[in-house]
Amino acid sequence: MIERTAILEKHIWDRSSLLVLNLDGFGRVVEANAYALRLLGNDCIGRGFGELLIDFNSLFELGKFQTDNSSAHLLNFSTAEGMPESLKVTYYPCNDGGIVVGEHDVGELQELRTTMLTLNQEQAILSRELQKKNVELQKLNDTKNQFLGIAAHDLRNPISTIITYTDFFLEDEEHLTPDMTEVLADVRSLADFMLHLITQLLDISVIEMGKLVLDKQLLDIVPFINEVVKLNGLLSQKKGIGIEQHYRGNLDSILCDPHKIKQVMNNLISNAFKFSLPGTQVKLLVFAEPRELKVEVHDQGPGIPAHEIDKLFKPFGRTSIHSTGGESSTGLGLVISRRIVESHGGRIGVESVVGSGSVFWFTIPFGA
Amino acid sequence: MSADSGAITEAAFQSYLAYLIAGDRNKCREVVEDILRDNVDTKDLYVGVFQRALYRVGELWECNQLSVAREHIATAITESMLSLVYPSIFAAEHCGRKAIVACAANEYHQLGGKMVADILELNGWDGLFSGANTPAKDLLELINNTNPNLLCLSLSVQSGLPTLLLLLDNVRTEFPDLPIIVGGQAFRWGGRENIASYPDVRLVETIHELERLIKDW
Repeated sequence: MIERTAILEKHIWDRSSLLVLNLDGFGRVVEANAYALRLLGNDCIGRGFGELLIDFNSLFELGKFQTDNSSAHLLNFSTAEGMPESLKVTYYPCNDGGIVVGEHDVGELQELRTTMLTLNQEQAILSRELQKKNVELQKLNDTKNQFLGIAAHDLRNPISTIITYTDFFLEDEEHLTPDMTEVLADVRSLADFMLHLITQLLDISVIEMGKLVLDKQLLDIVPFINEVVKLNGLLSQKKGIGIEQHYRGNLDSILCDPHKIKQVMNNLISNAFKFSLPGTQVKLLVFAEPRELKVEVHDQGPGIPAHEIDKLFKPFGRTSIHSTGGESSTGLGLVISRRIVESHGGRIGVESVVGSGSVFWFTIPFGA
Repeated sequence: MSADSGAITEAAFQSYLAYLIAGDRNKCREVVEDILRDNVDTKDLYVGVFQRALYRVGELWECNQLSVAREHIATAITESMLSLVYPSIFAAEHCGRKAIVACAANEYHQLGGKMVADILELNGWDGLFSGANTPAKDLLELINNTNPNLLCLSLSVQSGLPTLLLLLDNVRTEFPDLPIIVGGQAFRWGGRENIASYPDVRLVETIHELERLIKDW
């Protein structure tokens, strides 16, 4: 019988998951079993029992704890890792102090395990449903884009016909009164805008469906930029806005889709003109960085408030800033530009200061 | 609270709290669904039920009336209740501002931060929640990539204060102009003077204060 007790004592001391502390007459820890040392750290020896507890409201009273052992006390220990650990603790008084025995509430731990397991399973089911819904939404979005593409495509021909007929009537000046000329000019201008909008909607539907195909070619950078600036020259003259070009670094050639990059540059330059006042300058900076080509378009326009910047690259995301010459905008140009630049592996962005102007920029990696 | 929204009764709260302490998540769900049927304002549900109940659970734990395991069950149940409210949270019209909400490294209590991110969403902000225990390096990278208008750091356990202060030093070095707010239950036990020593770092005491702050942004 003695041998059995000794075996049990050794097991509790060395291997069990019970916390056992021997306290002296002053409530200080003089000895701890292996589990207690692992849980509380070796420095629990010599400390007062109350010091081992998390006791926010100073509720713990050692005397009361030592005398009331009618039931186990729920106490929170601060572990060696600084985490709280709740144990049900019983105090057994002895001749020269007492023994503290702490144990986990197995029923409660079982409940915790079951709750966590169930919640995890629910989470997994919800996640599966979410993924399924995402795929369905993607399919619906593709269908929407297809409809958009078909509608935009089919609208292009009638609008082109309206433009042709309007031009035809406008050329017949002899039979037109000034009022009629003005109305027809408005029709022509609106039809132009509709055609532009439809072309952009077609671009968006192609991009959204992941069908943007790049036709990459090796492009001579400087002649290309000169050509784009020349194309925008008419707009520049019309609004009385100057345009400067600055080049820096080894601007030889780059692999990209020239048609698409021209679309991006036209968008950024025409935006700069739209939001600049006559007499100001638009500056085009083109420079080679170690790994990428960077193009910056600086304007001296009104600038964009910081909280509106995010709207710029979202479809139809309008800001509070208005064009200076009443020019219209589809709200799609920057969205298309962003997708084109990103499909080249580049980045696009803007820095703006209200009252000073904006810098729209994009990069294209040399190894794209 | 909007004009046609209902109010949370004390009986509903007490019943939710009792089920929460008992670990009965199905009953908790029923109470929350009843409250939502009364068209209660989401923020009132967060503050008047979820936050209030968890504060009470925390108090009971501090008084040795509840164990850590029971507190974890209550937190996990509350976290699962948030999904009942998500359809209304994410439907708000966005204003173009965004905030990152994060818990510093070794802070495993994420519910407070998650609720802050949801309140931001309700007010039209993009509330990017990086989750519990976010290493400083990951947070700095996230700030760099997303360029937020505001960083919110949540601290629930006071022992995490040194890590949070270290994180504030890191963020301030890399992003000197980024406005930062901190908050959480940990500041009941101190740390206010540490936070006050950082320029442009503000301690926000309540969800109502947070809401006032972001509305006036």
